[in-house]
Amino acid sequence: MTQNATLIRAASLSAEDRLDIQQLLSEYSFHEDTGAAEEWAALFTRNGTFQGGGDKAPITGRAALAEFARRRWEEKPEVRSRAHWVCNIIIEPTETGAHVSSYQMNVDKIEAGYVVSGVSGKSDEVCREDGRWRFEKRTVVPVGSR
Amino acid sequence: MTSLTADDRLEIAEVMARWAAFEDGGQAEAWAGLFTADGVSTSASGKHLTGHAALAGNARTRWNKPGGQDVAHIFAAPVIEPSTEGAIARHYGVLVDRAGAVVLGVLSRRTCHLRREDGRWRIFYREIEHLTKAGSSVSGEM
Repeated sequence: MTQNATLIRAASLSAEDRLDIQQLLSEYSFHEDTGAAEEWAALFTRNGTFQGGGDKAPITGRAALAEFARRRWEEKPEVRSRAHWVCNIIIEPTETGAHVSSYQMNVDKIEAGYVVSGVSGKSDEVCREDGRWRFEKRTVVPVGSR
Repeated sequence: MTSLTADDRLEIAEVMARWAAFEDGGQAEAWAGLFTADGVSTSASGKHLTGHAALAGNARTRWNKPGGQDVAHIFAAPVIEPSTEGAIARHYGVLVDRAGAVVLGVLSRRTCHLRREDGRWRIFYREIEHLTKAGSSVSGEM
């Protein structure tokens, strides 16, 4: 096999890969919206990083990610009545896995009914680790950004 | 009637996702490139546009309109069916206005007719039907 052939194989994704990656994004919402901090953190690689929007400091490693998720759930009551709607998922192969971009629309239950509290984009580097696809780095970005 | 593989269906679904990302990111040329060279777009108001130059020009105009950069397109998962020429994808879309308080805008039903051109799935005809229209702050949808 030539070096080029090796690179081409490394940079391709099967339909099953793409469906697994789509499910990774869905799992993220379910765990985030139910306060399942450990399960949420486990969606990242061991050294995975979450980079919030603006100038927020990055959070790296599962222990730090789980702690972040627990504190968010405990300190921000509004997130306990929020659902993250994920859509517009674009998956592109990279040499180490895939780059994924998507939208998240936040829908909050309030006394008067339901409101859209925000829309953001996500830019993800994902790879396979320990038998499944995980986030190597997840970054909050404006919608329409890569 | 053609048949569609899982890869075809996934690629077609991503055409819809790219539509949203390119339009909401002001990438007029990339957005127009989602169409075939002779691709036609029909808006909810009945406006027809044909070909990459006209489509890209309209996308630039839309982006530069007041409020045009505050819109996010939220697309539901499409129904994708094989057709004589390739495939038809139908899906719901809702516009979200992100200026100030985030509000839902136009709800629409979207239909795209696609075929393969230059090695990838592209739209050769698409139309939009508005289901409701709430508020007036969401501008210029194509």
